[in-house]
This record gives sequence, structure tokens and C-alpha cells, in this order.
Amino acid sequence: MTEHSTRSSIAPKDALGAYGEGLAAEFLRGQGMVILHRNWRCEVGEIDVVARDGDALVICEVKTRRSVSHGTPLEAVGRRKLGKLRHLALRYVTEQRIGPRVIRFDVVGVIQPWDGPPIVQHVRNV
Amino acid sequence: MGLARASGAVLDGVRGVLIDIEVHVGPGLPSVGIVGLPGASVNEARWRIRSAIQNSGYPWPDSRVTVSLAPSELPKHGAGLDLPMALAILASSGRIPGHCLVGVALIGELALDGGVRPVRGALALALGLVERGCRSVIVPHDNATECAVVPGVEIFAVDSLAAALRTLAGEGVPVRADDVVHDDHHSHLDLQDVQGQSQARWALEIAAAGGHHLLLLGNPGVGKTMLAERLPGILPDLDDESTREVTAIHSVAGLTHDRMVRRPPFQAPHCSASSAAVLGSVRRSGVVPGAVTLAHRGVLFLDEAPEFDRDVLEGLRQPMESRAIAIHRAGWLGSLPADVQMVLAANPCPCGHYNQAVTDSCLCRSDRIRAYQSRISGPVRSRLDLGVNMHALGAASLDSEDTRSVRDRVWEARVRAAHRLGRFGVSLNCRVPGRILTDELSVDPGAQDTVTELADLGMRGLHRCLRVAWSIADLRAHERPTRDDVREAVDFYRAAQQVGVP
Repeated sequence: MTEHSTRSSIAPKDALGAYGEGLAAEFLRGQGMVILHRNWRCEVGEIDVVARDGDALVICEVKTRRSVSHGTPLEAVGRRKLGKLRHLALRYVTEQRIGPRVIRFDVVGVIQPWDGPPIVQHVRNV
Repeated sequence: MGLARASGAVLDGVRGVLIDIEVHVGPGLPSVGIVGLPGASVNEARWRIRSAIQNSGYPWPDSRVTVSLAPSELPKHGAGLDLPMALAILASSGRIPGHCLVGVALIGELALDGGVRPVRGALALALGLVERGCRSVIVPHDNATECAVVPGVEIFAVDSLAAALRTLAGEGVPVRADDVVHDDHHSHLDLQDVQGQSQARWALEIAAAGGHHLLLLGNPGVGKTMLAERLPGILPDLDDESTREVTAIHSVAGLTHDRMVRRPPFQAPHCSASSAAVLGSVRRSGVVPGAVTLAHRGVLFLDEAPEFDRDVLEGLRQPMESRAIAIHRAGWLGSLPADVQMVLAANPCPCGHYNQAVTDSCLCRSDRIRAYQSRISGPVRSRLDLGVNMHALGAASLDSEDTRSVRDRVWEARVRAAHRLGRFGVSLNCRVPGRILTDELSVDPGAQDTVTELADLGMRGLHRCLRVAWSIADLRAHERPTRDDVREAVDFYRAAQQVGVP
């Protein structure tokens, strides 16, 4: 990992985050959703994944952790983060000129242990 | 993921109320929601429970936990719901089988390491659970002895969450009632210490025999306080039911948590006490019983009675009559038990020297004397059964009876009264309803004229005199009150009513 970071400008934690977001996008696609945007940015912040699930627009936050020793990834999404997501969603629909439709907020937690396969948890409609 | 139930209890006044705890562990981001009017300490339970569960070797559910406390409109205070809430969370997340929580109630505060701490009012909680049909209760180890006296229930003592789980799995052994420690320690205060004052001692004995309210009047240093403090000593032990009631109240107030109160309690609030301290109050953390409730089934002594706030004295009118105190506040409506025998002590005037037998050195004006004595108002006085004017003694020391022999006589008189009154459903003379006094219980034919002369006392006064007369008769082993018994009772009653300079 150290070797990796000397070669690239990306910090290890950001690399893990990007890796988790990739996994999450795969997972959501597997659930039958269409990915519209990844890492959609504006001056307020960033939405990890924007997807379409049937008629609903899904705003998705992805959290990735190496272990649960400092709490689970799902726990790390608090009230404040959810408030920010709402705000971002509003910006998104305004800027993308999306008409009225159901907007859903999902959270995907990824646990990627140092050894072993990743565990993906998906909570709909938080 | 699922639903689980457990039973717990919270205090409502000095009563325990069964609380149904439902826990739903369902989809959603990890969070804990507690609904059903949780107080601050119940809300903080989420942190204690989480750590206690993790430190007992179980994982915390990584999803949304909803805890509902029913009945939802009753405000819930205290940490006693920690233990049942924790077990219901374990059951609903599938860590333990839900059926093991059926038919058992739990009480206990959790420590972060999974230990179980004692709670205030455990006996009152256990009594409330039994009233609602609970047959088996798990309590903190430190509360086990007080709860063991509750009849018709198996009490299991636990010192940790893990021990509670073992008990639920059927490995617990119920606490035995004979392990209970009874506090039947007699006060070291003996009547022998009071020199002379035969009239006041006699009044004290009558008050003890019939449960009558007593007013002691006299100059400072004459022995009023000494005498009043020795009243509990000549009262008999509390019976089993009273012991449970009194211990439950004392447990709620945090005065005892490991022994039963066998002797009648004695409360002597200072004359600066507020009405909240004497009559009871309501705080955000719940109902706080006052001195009058802590003295339930015992003696409430007001030394320097005229110095008390008017609303304290007037507020005591209700418990003197109805043996309970109503508390009507924004946060709580209800009544607390307050079956007390009142003893009031008062100086005859502001300087205290009025009416002194040896040298009258009182400098108070007569209107001030009257004003001072009137601070114990007419309505309060009319509820006092016995009044005694105590006078200072000469140098001669007199032989005085000891507490034990007076207590034996009081006991015999009470047995006589209980035997006579059993068919009316009461046991003490002070409790006999007025109708029964006049219609069913007749005084000695020789005393009938004396009774008819008492019309000026009014109905309440007449009844109070007759009750005292019966107590005097019981002490003297008379079949029914004689003319002398009735006259003596009337003299005692009039002494309590008298105000001002004769």
C-alpha cells in the first residue's frame, strides 16, 4: 500500500473509498438499477452514486471501511450527513433539470478486510 | 431481525407500575429510538445498554432499533428499565430465544461492563409487578433482600447481564425469604429518662394505645421533645403488610435497600422545612415523598409547631383526617400514603416563659401570646385529640416507668380494642367511624349524662373525645368508658383547643 501511494498522488484512504464506490456501483447495477452519475460534484459537495431504480431517482452514499473496530460503515452515516445529502439532491435535480419524481436515499456500506472478500450492505430509503 | 417483548417496572409516586417493553430491530441505518415518554435517565439507557451488551460478548445490531414503552402516556424515570430493554434487544436481534422472556419481569440498571446495579425503590417495583400477576422477577443482587419478602413471587438475584441470561435459561435459584434482615432495633431512647411529668406520660400512653394526635405545650426545657421522641418506643412492631408498605416507601426515598423496617418510623422535620419537604413534591425526576409520607404508619413530630409555615400546618389537615396526602402538580396528580400519628410541641408564648409555675418571667403582651398560639389554627387544633400543659419540676427526682412496661400496657390495650372493633373492620380507636361510635358502641350508663353535656364541642369534637375515652378505658381494662374516663378525655381535648390567656 505504501508503495502504491508513493507512485500515485492519491492517499490510501481515498483509494479505498474509490474502490468501495466501484464495488457499490457494481452492486447497485446488480440490483437492476441504472447508474446515472458517479462522484457528481457541485460547490456544496459530492454525491457518490446517482442511479435510477424504476421511476425513482436514487441518491446513494457509499462508506467503506477496513474493519468494524471503530464502528460499522453504516453507523458512520449520521443525521448531519443525511441532511447534506438532501441538500445535494436538491442541487442535482435543479442542475440536471429533472422533473418531479420520487427521490430515494440509499446507503451502501462496504467492509473490505485486509484479507478476504468484501462485505457489501445496502440500506434502502434511509 | 424481529420483534421481542419484556416486562419491567417504573415508579409512579411510591407505587410500582408494570411496563411492557417492545423492541423492534428492523431495516434502516443503525440507530436507537426510545418512545413512550422516556425521562432523561431512560433516554440515556441506550448508551449503557449498548456498552453492556458489547462487553458481555454480544454484537450490537447493525440496524435500526426501536424501543416502545407502554403504557405510553406514563412518564418513565430511572434506570431500572435498562436490564429488560437490553434483553429484549438481544431477543429481537435473535441472540437469545424470545420465549425465555415470557412470564418473567426484570428490574436493574446496567453498568457499562455488563454489571447490574441496584435501583431505588426495588421493593415498590416488585410489589407493583406482583399486583399485576407477575410470578417471577429478576432483581439486582443488592436489592434481593428487600424484594424477598414479597409474597407469592419467586425473586432471582443477578449481578450481571450474563447472570440474567443464565437465570432466564433456568439456572437461577430463587432468593429465600428467611434471608431477609429485619430492622427491629429498638431505639436507645427510654421513657425512664423523662423525670416526672406523669400527666404528659399518661397522655403519651393514651395516644400510643389509640393512635391519637397529641399536642404538648410547655416552657422550653420542660421535656416536650424528649417525650415525643420516645413515642415510637412504646408503639408495637409493624405488622407484615405495614412493614412492606413502609419499607417500599423508604426504599423509594433511598433510605433503605437491604433491610425491612419493623419499627414505626419517626420523622421530625425542622420548623424551617418547606411544604414540599413535609408534604411531598414533584420534580422532573419524579415524585419525591415528603416527611409525612416517610412517617407513614409511624409518628410525625413537629417541634416548635407555631414556627412552621402556615401552609405546612394547614396542609397537614388532610393527612390527619384521611391518612393520605393528595399531590396536585402540573407533572403529577395522585395521592401518597400518609397514615401518621401527629405530635405537636409548642411553647406557650414567643419568649417561652408564659405560665411558668415557679417564677413567671414572661414579658409577652397578652395579644402576642394569643397570636402566637393561634398559629396552630382552629381547624388544626380541632383535629388534635389530646393536649397537655407540661410544667417544670422541682428539684425532687421522681421514679419513672421504663419504655418496656409502658409498651406492654399499650399492646394489651390495642389487643382489647382490636377484639372489640374487629367486626367493624378497624383495629385502632382513632379509626372508628363516628356513626359506629354513637350508634354501636355505648359508654357506661353512668357516663351517659357527661356525654350529653358535650354538645358545645360539635360533632367532630364529641367523636374525638369518645375515641380517646375508649383508649383510656382500654388501658384501664374497663369494659366501656366510665364517667371518669370520659371526663378525662374531654379535659385532654379541651386542653388542645385552648388558645390565649385564660
